[in-house]
Amino acid sequence: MIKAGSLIIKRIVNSFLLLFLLATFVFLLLRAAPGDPVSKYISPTLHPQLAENLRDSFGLNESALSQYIDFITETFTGNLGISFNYRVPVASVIMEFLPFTIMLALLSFSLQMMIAIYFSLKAAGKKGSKRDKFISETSLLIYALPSFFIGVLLIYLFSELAGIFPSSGVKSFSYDEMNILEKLADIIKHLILPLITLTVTGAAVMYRYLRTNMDEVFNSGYVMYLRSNGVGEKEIIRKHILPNSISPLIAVAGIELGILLSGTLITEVIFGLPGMGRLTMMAILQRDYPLVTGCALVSGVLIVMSNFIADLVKYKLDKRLLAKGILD
Amino acid sequence: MKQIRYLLLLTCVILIFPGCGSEQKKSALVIGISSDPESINALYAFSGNEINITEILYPSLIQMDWDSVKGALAVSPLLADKFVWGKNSLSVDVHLKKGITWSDGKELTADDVIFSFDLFSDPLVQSRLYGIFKNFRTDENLKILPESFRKINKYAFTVFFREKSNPSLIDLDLPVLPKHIYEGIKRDNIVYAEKEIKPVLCGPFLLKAWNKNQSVVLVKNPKSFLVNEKTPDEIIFKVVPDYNSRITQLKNNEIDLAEDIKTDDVEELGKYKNIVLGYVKGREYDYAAWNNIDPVEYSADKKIKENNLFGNAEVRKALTLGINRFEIVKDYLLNYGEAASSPVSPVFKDSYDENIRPYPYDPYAAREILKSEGWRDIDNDGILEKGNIEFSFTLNIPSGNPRRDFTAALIKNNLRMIGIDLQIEPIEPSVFFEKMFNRELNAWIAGWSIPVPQYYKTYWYSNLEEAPFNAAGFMNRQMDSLLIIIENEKDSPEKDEHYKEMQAIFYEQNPVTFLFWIDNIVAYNSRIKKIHITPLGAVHHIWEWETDD
Amino acid sequence: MKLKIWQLIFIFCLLIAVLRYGLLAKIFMLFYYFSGSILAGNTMSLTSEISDSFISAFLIIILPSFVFLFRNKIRFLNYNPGLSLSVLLVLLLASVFAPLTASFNPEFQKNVAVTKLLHPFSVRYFITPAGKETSFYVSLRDEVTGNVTDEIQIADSLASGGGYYQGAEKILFEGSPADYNTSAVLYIFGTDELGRDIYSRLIYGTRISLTVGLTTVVLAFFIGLLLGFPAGYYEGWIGKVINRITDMFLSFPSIFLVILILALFGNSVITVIIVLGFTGWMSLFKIIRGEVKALKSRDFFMTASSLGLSSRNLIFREMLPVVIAPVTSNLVLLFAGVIVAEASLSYLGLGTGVTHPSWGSMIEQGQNYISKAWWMIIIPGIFLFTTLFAANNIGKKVQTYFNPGIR
Repeated sequence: MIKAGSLIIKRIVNSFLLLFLLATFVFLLLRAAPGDPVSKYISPTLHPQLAENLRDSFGLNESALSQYIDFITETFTGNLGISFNYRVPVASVIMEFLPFTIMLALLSFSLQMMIAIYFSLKAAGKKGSKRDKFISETSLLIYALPSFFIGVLLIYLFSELAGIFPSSGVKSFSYDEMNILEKLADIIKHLILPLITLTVTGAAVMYRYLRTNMDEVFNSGYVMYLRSNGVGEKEIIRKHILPNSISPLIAVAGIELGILLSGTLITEVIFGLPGMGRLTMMAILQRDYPLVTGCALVSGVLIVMSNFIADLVKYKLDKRLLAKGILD
Repeated sequence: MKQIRYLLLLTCVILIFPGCGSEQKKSALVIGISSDPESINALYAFSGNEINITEILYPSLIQMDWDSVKGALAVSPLLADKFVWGKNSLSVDVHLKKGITWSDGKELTADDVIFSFDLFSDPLVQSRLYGIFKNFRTDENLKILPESFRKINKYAFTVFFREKSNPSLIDLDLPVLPKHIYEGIKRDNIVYAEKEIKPVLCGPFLLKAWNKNQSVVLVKNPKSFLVNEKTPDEIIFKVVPDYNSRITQLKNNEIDLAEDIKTDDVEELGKYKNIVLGYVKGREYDYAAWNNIDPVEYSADKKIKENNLFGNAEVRKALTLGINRFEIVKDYLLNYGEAASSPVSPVFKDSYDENIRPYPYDPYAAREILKSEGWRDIDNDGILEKGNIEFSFTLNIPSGNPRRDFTAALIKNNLRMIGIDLQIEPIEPSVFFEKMFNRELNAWIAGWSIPVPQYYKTYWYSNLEEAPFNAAGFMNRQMDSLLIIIENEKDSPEKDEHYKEMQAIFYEQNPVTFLFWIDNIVAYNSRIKKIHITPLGAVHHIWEWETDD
Repeated sequence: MKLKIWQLIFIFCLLIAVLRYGLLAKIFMLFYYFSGSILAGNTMSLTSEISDSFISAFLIIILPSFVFLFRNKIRFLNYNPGLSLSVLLVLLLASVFAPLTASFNPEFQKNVAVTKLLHPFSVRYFITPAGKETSFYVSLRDEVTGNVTDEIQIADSLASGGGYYQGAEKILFEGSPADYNTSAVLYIFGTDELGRDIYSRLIYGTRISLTVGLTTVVLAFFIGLLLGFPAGYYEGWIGKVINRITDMFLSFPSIFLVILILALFGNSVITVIIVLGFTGWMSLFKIIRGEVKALKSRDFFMTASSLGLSSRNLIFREMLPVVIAPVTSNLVLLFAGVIVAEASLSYLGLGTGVTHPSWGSMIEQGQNYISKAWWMIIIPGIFLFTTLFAANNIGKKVQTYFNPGIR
């Protein structure tokens, strides 16, 4: 247990270092890039002095070094600053957009895992059968479809041609007047296409990973041993092969979750959803420096955390497997 | 497997069961907008939609209407009852309407108005109107001095303008905020706390709800003198980011009005009986700018040197003649717009000189002019040279605007015909405009939306520090003196003559090539009555609108 | 189909040369005039479009002769490519010879009201006045580059009494028909909202996608090699530092950084390549480092180093060939990944799509016209999908070739 404790502390220190570097990097990039944060306030109908005053109150007229020192001390005391564009604390802007992204990411992630496991069990159940080949080929086909194309295609098929699902937004306008069942249906209707878009490619990747791992375990000695002892094929797959194949998958899953959490950008853009990805994009285009760094840190923290969780799970899982004496 | 089947079945039932047709409240008007407003406080309403919303919530002392006969702005009192000008026209007595109450029950008084002037002009507040009170007496921070106002009684006060100024009622166009709410907040904190301040209002509509990324719901204020029983009970600004969805919702009566309709959709929308189309004409134009001064020298050390390609007015005239603006108007705008000859909009009927017609498309004449200016194709490769300079340059456009993409490609093809070679380079908008205002670009396409009342000095005056929007570096003595005369002149036939003289100079000098005026096409539901679409916009004076039902 | 690679290339070039002989002749004529006038001391400007045509015209003769002559010397040319590789090769060739394979200049637009949003397989009529007064060089240049000048008019239907209609009412052809040249033009894949030919834009888009894909992979491989080699070779602090840097890159939110950099610094083809290259090298690094580590202890390597070969020789002669093999499949998969990334970035308005026709930006534009023009999204989508599917298949094949155990 001591080992695990020190490992965790090391990880946390490393993570902080990483976030510090990330913040610094983003800060440098932003100051080096062309584009003016107060360009929104430069217009013939506004007085030029207004833009100057704003530049002052944003601290943009100070030297880069003092801006940087301010920025770092503020950030590590937990203050992400005030958004140039919304004129409210960055944290509260992010809190408006983050929950949606997290919900979408977690939903999609669990769907991905479920689909991958379900189909790899189906496929592995009858190795080399038509069904196995069909599933594998389909996963390859899906894997070759970029997710933005899937999204646009889904909109074309289901919103434009069939008219079943809405092409954008999270909920209907009359949402507030609905009863609970209608509300649920409304949200499902709006989220079904984005979820498919977000899920299928990832599910195909996970499926391929899981399938490869399962094949490896399939050919290992102890499975042969179990089989020769007359253990049923189904039981072997469910109780032995699956748990053993999942452990390597978790590293990949961790990365996937991190990617999902840090931005479901493409999906948000296609379906006009209010999430972190679009917020980040808007902040960058408007040169909202504090908001950009805020978004960077949040997505950095999310990635670090999901990797960390994946490692912990893997660690736990390995130990349990070791204890059971399966993994030798 | 079984569970999954049940789950699928259940999902289907849920999806099909409720149906989609949800009835809207009868007297609510829904206006489709493309993005969520960032602020709905009159102090910080910067964008078009924000201004449209705050115009309803925070009425001003005056209201502006469009006199379509004269083609000019008509100003009349709104919160004010009457104005009495002083002898030298440098002071005015403002008498407020009596009996207007704030939504918390307090009465609107002269104190609120005086306070609002102070608030809007305070540098600490950083309001949208900061610094523009140029006819007022202000301190060095452009804040209006307290001695500008003298209270006469609870409902009346006098405004004293600056010496040697040229004030008009338009100077009093200011949304009024409640003093008793704002005086308790530290001035430099208002900008950050703005969204938490309780919206105490006195307009024809009050704020019911602002659902982030969804809608802004305004509800009729029965106490307001601006509404009657036919005024819709609610006005809803509904955020629909996707253009195609806005069109669909318009057809299905889910939204009642949408602006910026693409010309491609006009024909189809015209077939719908429930939809009426309207046009806001003459407020926006696109131009192709030829930097009159050398961008490299200027951005290096603000040195002004004539541009070696575009410095010559005759060459710029040739460029104008060589661009087929009429094809853009006909083919791309589908005639929802017209070719432009100067920044003076044809909607200002009195100040617009109809005899100055846009240059025709005449590549042969353009080639002749270029020839007489010394541009010849010496090496026979189809591109003109003068000395060892080739007539070749980069045309920048802001990226992501199909109309500008189209125009740029057309200009490229047109100019190739008269022996000019150009490369198109799109730049991301925020960088594009920064470079444009720093005068770093050589040639570009952009657009202006023109101010009402008309104002030109900031765009065309030769002192580049005073005219930050003269990005093309146009310098002309005659123009300068006209701009200064106009600035100090009251509306009069002489002033209109001066505008016409200005047009003649634009026509001769072609500081840029004025391409075309663009109509803002508005589609609205036929149940909206008494809507007046004027150059001031479509969503204007909503309280005058009525619905059938 | 038992076509060998050299046969495929040969047939493709021959086919293009036969189909576009008219254009080829014009390009050579233009080249003749151009070089003649340069030799005479004129400073004629050589635009990228003209030089592009020159290069493809010469290459279409050189390339088939080269593959024919060296077909027995180069082993690669004798492989039977299979379907996936054939698809990629054809796409590659089509994009290399874009000026010859495309039917229009990708930016060509004229009479939008008549040409916009045309269905696949639409036909329109081009009408040009017969006697143009422009110089021979200029008219030849315009014909070659497809930048047809303003005198052209496009008609959409044949009038009953002769002549052509544009739109519903306007009859073109004032004066005698002999004063005009008319020709019917086919838009195989239809047109977009500005009346540009989608097929031609796809060909040029392929060029951008493949260029970005290939150069990024080379860049990523180079970085992976540059870092992976010392990391595997020197076990001391150098290796550790490099390892740490790589781990950091791996845990950086790279999507965020890619978007940030491209949105901040603009999106030329080169920035896209650099940014994608610098975020894609980590997996290659890991493999290379592993291989180098393993190699160090192998017999032949020890022999070679004890023989006193210099490190440079060691790297390039002994190690590189051994290292490349296991990386190949990753390179191919990275290639597919980069193409997806580029297309997605272009879809967001951050890729090469701003300045060039690009698959991703074509789909993005198509989404605005989704109810009117399905071909604007479906056709670029099919191109993208085919390319990626082919690349993934090849990647899988290479993988099984090198590691037969994994299927």
